[in-house]
Amino acid sequence: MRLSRDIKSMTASVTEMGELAAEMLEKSVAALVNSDMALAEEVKKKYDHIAFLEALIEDEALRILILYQPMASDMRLTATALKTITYLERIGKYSKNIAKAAIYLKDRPTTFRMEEVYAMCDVAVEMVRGVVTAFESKDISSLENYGKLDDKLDHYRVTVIDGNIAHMRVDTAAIEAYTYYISIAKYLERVGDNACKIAEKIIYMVSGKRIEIDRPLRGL
Amino acid sequence: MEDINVMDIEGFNLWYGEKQALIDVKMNVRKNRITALIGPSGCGKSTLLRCMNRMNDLVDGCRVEGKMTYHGQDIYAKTTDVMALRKKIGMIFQKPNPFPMSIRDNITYGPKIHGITKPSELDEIVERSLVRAALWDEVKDRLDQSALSLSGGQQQRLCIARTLSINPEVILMDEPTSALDPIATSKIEDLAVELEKDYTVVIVTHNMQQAARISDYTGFMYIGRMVEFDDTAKIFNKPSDDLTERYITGRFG
Repeated sequence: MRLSRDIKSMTASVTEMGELAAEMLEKSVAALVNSDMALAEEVKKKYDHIAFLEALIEDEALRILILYQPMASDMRLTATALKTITYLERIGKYSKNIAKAAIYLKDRPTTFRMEEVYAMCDVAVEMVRGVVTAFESKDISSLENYGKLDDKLDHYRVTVIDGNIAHMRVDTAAIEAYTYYISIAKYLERVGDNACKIAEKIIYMVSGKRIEIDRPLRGL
Repeated sequence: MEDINVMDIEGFNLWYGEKQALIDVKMNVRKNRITALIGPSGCGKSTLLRCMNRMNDLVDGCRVEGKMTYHGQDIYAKTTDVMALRKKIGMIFQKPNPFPMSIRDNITYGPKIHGITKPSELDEIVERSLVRAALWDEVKDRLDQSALSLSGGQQQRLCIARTLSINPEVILMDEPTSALDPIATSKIEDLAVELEKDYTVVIVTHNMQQAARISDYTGFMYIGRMVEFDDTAKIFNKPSDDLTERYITGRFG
C-alpha cells in the first residue's frame, strides 16, 4: 500500500533528523569542552542539513495529508511528525548556538568548572535519543520519567547560573564569557523542554491521550 | 433537545432466507444529530438503514428479530402503521430518483397523497421544501420543467426536498453522494449539516472523510455486526477496536 510506504519513508526521515539533532548536541558540547574548533564548525554546518530535513519532512507529511487523508493511527503519526520536526529544528539551532559559543570562548579562559554543563548535556542527549527511539518503536515506556529529567535540567541550570554569577563577582574581566556559559545552560534546558514536547506528541501518537509533561519549577 | 434517542436498536438480527445479514446489532439514533454508518460492501449497513423505515418488508424471505424502536414504539410491531412510519422516516437513495414529472409535481406528490389539495398551501410547501433543500434559487423560475432536466446534484437535492415536503423527523440517506461530482457532493454535505438543526439524519457512506466531516456519531459495521459505535471524533482519531482501526486506515484483511 502506497500510504504505508510513504509513512515508512517519512518515519525514517524523522528518525534521521532526530539522530542528527542528538549528534549535533553531543558534538557541540564536546567542541566546547575540548576547544575543538573543527568540531564546532562541523556542528554549524550540520545545522543546514537539519533545516533541509525539516522542509523535506514537512513536504512529505503535507503530501500524505493531501493525498491519503489519513485516519486514526496514520493521522496521529503524520501530525506528530509535523510537530516533532519543529522541535528537532530548535534543538539543532541550540546545538549550533553552543558551537558558536565554543568558538567565542576558545580564547577567553575562565575559571568556570564544566561539570554541570557536562551533566546537563548527558541528560539532554538522553532525552533527545529517547524520543527518537520512541517515535520509531512506538514504545513510550521510556518517556514516563521525562518530567523528572526536565526537573533535573532546570536544577542544573540554576546551579550553573549561580556558579557563574559567583565567578563574575571575582573575575570581572571575563564577565562576558560567563554570560556565554549561562546561555549554554539555557540552551540545554530548552533542549529538554523541546524533548518533553516531542515526548507528549509521541504519547498522543501511540495512546491517543494528550498529557502534559512539562512542569516548570516555580519562581525560576 | 439534546441526548434524546429517536431510535433504539438492540439485539437486532435480520435474515435474508437462510443467510443472516445483521447479527446482534446495537446502536441508537440521537435526535438532531447526524449518525453515519460505515463499513465494507456487504457489511449490512444499507440493510440496517432500510430496516429503520421497514423498506425491507418488500424483500422476499426477509425476517427480523430483536429490538428496534422509534420513540419507544416497536417499528416491527404488527400494529405499526408502515405508511405513517415512512412519513416520519424518509429515505434518500444512492442514485437520484425524481419522478418523471415537473419539479413542482415531484414536491407536491407526497402532500397530495396525504390529503393536501389547497393550491396556496401546496405552493407554500413547494417553496419551503426547496428552500430547505438549498435548491429554490436554482429552480424557482422553472418549477414546471421536468425534474429530469436537472443535473444529478440538483436531482438529489430535489429528492431531499421531496422527502422534506411531508415533514419527516428522520431522514435516512443511503450513499446519497456516491453518484455525484465533488461540488454536488459538497452541497449535499452542507445541506445535511444544515438539516441537522431540524431533522435527525442517518447516513450510510463509503466515504470515510465524509462521515468524519459531517457526522456526530459513527458506527462501523463488519459482516453483519456493529463492531464499534461511538462519537465520530473518537472513531476517526483513536478507535477502540482494532478492526475499526484497520478498516479506517485502509489496512483491511
